[in-house]
Amino acid sequence: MQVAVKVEDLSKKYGKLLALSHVTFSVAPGEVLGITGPSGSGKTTLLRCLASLERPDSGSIEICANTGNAVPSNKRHPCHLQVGMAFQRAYLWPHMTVIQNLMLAQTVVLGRPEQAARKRAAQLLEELHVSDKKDQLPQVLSGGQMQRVSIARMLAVDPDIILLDEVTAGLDDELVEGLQGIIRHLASTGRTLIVVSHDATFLGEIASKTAVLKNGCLTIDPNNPKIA
Amino acid sequence: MAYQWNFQVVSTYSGALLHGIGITLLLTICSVVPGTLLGAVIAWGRLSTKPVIRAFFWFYIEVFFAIPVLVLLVWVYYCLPVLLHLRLSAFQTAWICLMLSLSAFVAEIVRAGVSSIPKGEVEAARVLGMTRWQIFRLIIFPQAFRRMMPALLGQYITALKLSSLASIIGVTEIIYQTQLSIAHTYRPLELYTAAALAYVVIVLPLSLTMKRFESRIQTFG
Repeated sequence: MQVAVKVEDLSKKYGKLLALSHVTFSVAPGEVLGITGPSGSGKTTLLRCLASLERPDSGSIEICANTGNAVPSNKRHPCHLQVGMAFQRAYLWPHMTVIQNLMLAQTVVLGRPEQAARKRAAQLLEELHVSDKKDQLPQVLSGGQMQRVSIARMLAVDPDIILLDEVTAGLDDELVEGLQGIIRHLASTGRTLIVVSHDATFLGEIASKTAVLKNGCLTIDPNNPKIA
Repeated sequence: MAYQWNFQVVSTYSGALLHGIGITLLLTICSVVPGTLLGAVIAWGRLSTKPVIRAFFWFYIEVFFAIPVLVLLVWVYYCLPVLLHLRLSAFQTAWICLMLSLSAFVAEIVRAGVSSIPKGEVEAARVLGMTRWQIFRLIIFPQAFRRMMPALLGQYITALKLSSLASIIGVTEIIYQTQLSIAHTYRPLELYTAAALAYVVIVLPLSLTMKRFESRIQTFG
């Protein structure tokens, strides 16, 4: 079986606190892995390790892209070629307009011409129903709008592996439904998604397999029929 | 009997006062420009991940926070020649002391400005594949600069006013020229009034610029 993300025996401690304990799983291209679990169980730490924002204490992470981005290898870390992450908080850059937020990485990391970057940004904003805010500063956006712009910013660089950390927070039912459509579309194009959420219904709608993280240990959810 | 004002003396000694203004401005520029650059380097040291570097620059900052500029001026001007046989001119002594003192304050302002940028914004840029230099240039610096500017301008104004202390070692800036003119005319009230007005005229545009930055920060965060 082809594997997009392979995690083996991953452990991470913050001082004496064990955040991840011998976590092992793999995800195939086009699959959506939903991870749930109580607060403080290590879900965000797991995503941060996958995004190279945290260094695990032990274990290994293999990221294998199935769609190559035409980016010169000296432009960014090999891992960054493939992994994109949307955070629980939007963390938009407040000194730039919404569209500038989406264009920056496209131009400076991917080397896309400004015109093409603007077109891609506008298309994503349209898909996420925030195109009317493209020339606004992030401060005037609502929480839900900020979250959608943050997702659009991550998608703008076309990552192969997409990590979503509680991205439904602040979105109403209609927008969550829209997001589900986008996730399904991304998965259908061969992209791999790992989605962390407290919302079991949301995960049930989008995940091809689900897992539960508790006290740093990842276990397969026995109640979910979609479990691999 | 009411004091008889005679501002004619200001006009008579305007040449000396203008010379003093020129020296004050020169001294301020000579200390502000390298002091800011040095302060940025010290801030980088304070933000270093290496504890030894952090501790060294912390000590530097604390030392120059503690020593009054007047003491520093006198010490460098009179003690250095005795200790190291190093004789600096009054102007050199003044700009070096003002620069060193200013750099410590600039370092803390720059450090605070850079630290004020949320870690999440930097991480978002990292995940998007931006290099450390790109993150600094495009995300951290534009925001930190806006936040630092009012405090930096305030510090530059303080440096300008502190330059008056250089009169004590004989730098021919505004206060020195004023005192010299007073010695000739016995008209301290008129001449000190003129000196005060000169400072107001120099500082006011800087102060207004500071206010503009403050209002911009309130708009853009």
